[in-house]
Amino acid sequence: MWMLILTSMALGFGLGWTLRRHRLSLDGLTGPLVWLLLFLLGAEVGANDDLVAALPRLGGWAALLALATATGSAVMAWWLTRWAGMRKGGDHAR
Amino acid sequence: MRGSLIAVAFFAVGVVCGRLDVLPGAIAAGGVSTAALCALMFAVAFGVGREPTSLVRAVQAHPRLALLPVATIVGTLAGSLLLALADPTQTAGEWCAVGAGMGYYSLSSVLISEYRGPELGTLALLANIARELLALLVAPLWYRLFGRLAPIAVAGATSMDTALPVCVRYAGRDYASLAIYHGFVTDASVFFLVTLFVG
Repeated sequence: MWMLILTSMALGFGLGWTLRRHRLSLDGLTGPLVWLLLFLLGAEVGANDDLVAALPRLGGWAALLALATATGSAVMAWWLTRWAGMRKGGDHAR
Repeated sequence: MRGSLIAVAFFAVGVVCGRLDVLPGAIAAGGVSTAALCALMFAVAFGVGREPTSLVRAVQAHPRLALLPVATIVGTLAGSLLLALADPTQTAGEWCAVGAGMGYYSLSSVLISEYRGPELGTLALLANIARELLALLVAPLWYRLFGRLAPIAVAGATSMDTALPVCVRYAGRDYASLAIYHGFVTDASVFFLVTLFVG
């Protein structure tokens, strides 16, 4: 699995570098591919009877924990943004 | 916002299809998922390959950004400890172990099931799927509230694969290598953190 992903990235990087003077862009593909992956993740969750059965009991705590850990990470990233000398939101690296 | 709604709709339709068991076996087995992930990685790397200098630009300009994985882990554990205060039926170590999956739901749920049984393992699976969904579905909100590094930090271990396109879109292409590096470090730390807290 990891070899496949790394090989895909290496091939993509190599081809992108080779064709860097052409106008070809694959940016339009990424959105639909993420949607496809979300659909497949949803199908995996929906087909898992144990997971669906546990949702009423554990779903609320799971959602709260995800929100708390995501917010904690985002706050630390915001702090790092300031400490590293970047402006919030702006400041593309030069 | 429109993109997030479409993403939610795809996830919801997937759940319904999974419940109704209407998908062909080949799709349900995971082969399509691997192929889609490889295609996604190819497309993102293609964009970076067109601008190879972007690989080092962000960290060269701001070397302290190399500490982003540490910031993510500290923020994650702080959030987990908040939950430990709200629900003392689980220990602080158990909450930290569940949170420390950082979106890597397969490994963290298997490890925690081994160490503490299926109940906590299922909680880890649900919580880490929810974290990945938060990274993918509401990235614009994280960006608006906490700046351009926030979508990468929220994505945790998934910032180098499934959430990479979202990270690149909101942080900028200059931050693609930072997102990949961040994903590698947080991904590798999941095993050690989970084992440290409940092993």
